[in-house]
Amino acid sequence: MELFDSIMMGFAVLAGWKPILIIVVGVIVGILAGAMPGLSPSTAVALLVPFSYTMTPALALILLTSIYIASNYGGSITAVLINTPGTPSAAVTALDGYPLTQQGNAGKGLGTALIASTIGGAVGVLILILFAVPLARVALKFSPADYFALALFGLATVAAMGRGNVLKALTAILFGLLIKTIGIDSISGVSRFTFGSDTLYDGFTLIPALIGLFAVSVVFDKVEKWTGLDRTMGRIDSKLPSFKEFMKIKMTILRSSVIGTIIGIFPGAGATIAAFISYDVAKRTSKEPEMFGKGSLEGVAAAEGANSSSVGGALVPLLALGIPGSATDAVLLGAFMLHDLVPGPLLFRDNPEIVYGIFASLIVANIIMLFIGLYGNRMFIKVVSVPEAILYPLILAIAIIGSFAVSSSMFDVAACIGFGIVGWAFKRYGYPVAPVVLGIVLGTMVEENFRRAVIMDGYGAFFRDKLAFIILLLASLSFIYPLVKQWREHRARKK
Amino acid sequence: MSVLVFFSEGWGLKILIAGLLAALIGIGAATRLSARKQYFGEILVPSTLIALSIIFLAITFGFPSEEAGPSAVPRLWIFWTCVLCGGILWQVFSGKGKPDPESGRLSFLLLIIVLLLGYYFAILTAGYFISSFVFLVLLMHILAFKRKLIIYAVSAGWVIFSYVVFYRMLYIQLPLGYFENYF
Repeated sequence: MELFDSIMMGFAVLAGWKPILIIVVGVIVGILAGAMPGLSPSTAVALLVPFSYTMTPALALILLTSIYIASNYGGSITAVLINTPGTPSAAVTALDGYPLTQQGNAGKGLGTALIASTIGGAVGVLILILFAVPLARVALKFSPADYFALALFGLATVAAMGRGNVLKALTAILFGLLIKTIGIDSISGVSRFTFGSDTLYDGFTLIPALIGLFAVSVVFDKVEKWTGLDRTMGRIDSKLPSFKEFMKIKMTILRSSVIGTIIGIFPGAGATIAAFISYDVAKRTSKEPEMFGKGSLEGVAAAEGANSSSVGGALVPLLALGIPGSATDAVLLGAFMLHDLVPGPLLFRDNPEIVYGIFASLIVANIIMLFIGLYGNRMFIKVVSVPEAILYPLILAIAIIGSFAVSSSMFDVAACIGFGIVGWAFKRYGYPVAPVVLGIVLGTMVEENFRRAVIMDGYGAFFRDKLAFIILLLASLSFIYPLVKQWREHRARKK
Repeated sequence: MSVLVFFSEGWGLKILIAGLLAALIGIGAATRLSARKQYFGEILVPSTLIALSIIFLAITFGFPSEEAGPSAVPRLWIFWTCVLCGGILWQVFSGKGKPDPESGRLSFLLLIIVLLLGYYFAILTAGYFISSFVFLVLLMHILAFKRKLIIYAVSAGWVIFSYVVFYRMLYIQLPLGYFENYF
């Protein structure tokens, strides 16, 4: 009953035209950003943070979470139409979505993606509400040692779940953690690694660093691979699957939504892994597995249901514990901080209107996305067809103004460009960028809780506190397992 | 210990940074000339991170020493960064690493970065609005967009949008350079 009242309070936050307009704008921007190949949900949210500066914290976060949830659907538009996934997770949607287009059923493919995304998003939000609220209550009793262990576990799983070289993913995390130590130490007041510069006393400002790593680096990467060729797309509209077709895929959507949400809860797993696993499960349980990869509606539904529901899952650790579950969550955490809010159990106690406002807005955003997706796809396709020679200069212009706007500092602009170059170099040589961001975002939490635990209880704190010990053990396994796996794979290749 | 403190600030730190920079240039040059030239980036990136870690480590010797003090956590990250980067280098030298990806249009990218840096300095002198217009027009030209009218319309549109939304509605005091009195 208390939960129901709280959710009603969340809906009260949405009363009036302004919040609804913000959700509509967020959904449109999210779909467009998701549909543009090269722009990930994290890039879209990072670029849009500056537009939320003067909004109230509740409205700003409603805008950004609406963009987040809609961008996952947006990725399916180009995946279905031109076999070019707008987001990494939409690569799975393209497996069956594009064959549908080739068969002249693009509208049905988009419609299935839309309905699966809507249901997936709703299931994700429902599980988010059911998980996050009790988890936040339990988390109120966590000690600094527990928090340190949890943050470390989050970072470890990010490295473990990532594809590619594990050593590089871990190095990327450490680079982010090291960067976060720059500035005045909050416990001792000592100035660290500032090289005598006053502007570095507060360390690097988070948002310009995020924009540099996520947006500017993408433009540099695209420019390096520049061919000058543009995408072309035909005119198309969404068409919902018939009732009979919907009944055939309804269990796939529900199952994928639950799988997606649960996978999304684990930091680092994210929408892409959720989509791949759900697709695989759907294929194994389907009555027509031979149709997968050839234009199966079930395939599209499995991928889209999972990637949209993973948003709700990924928000569980962010809202309840303050630990971002994905790169986009890390950007959202930055937005929280920008508005002087700290996600975690205290947010539920001190600012319930924001937490429940986000829950309510996610539900409303899903419904709005269904209507906008149904009637707006023709317009989105036109906008997405904007030539890259126009898009990339505009991204750079938004990045520059967005970095400056945080604290009206040209130093932040320089930092954004610098992080853009670092991000490009990292990507080029196989170091993932998202772990750098998570390292920067979680750096303070890890350090402060580690030192508090040691100051309060000595280094033995991590062994005496049972929960911290178990989580640290799991974190160690998360570090070691992928290294062993990689070593085994290498040995197998050698044989 | 006093030697370590010497490198933590002032001339000692400058000498250390210069030495590490020289070492990185040396490593880069040696890699280019060696049989492992296809691993140039694979070697230089971890080497740079190790060099950065050494600089940070040297600086920590200037911090007050206490249990769980300001140097504790940075040293922990530095230690693991060096271990992991050492592991990456070991992969390269033991033949387990992947060679660098094929180079794209690096000189073209360099041109864009130089243009972006030029834009940064132009904002300080000519102000945000004028330099943004020029930057967008130039960049679209460089990216070979052919429809001139659209280039000018989009650039002007962005300047008007940023003026209305950021300068007027969000009250963000964008740099105006020498043209401060005209806005």
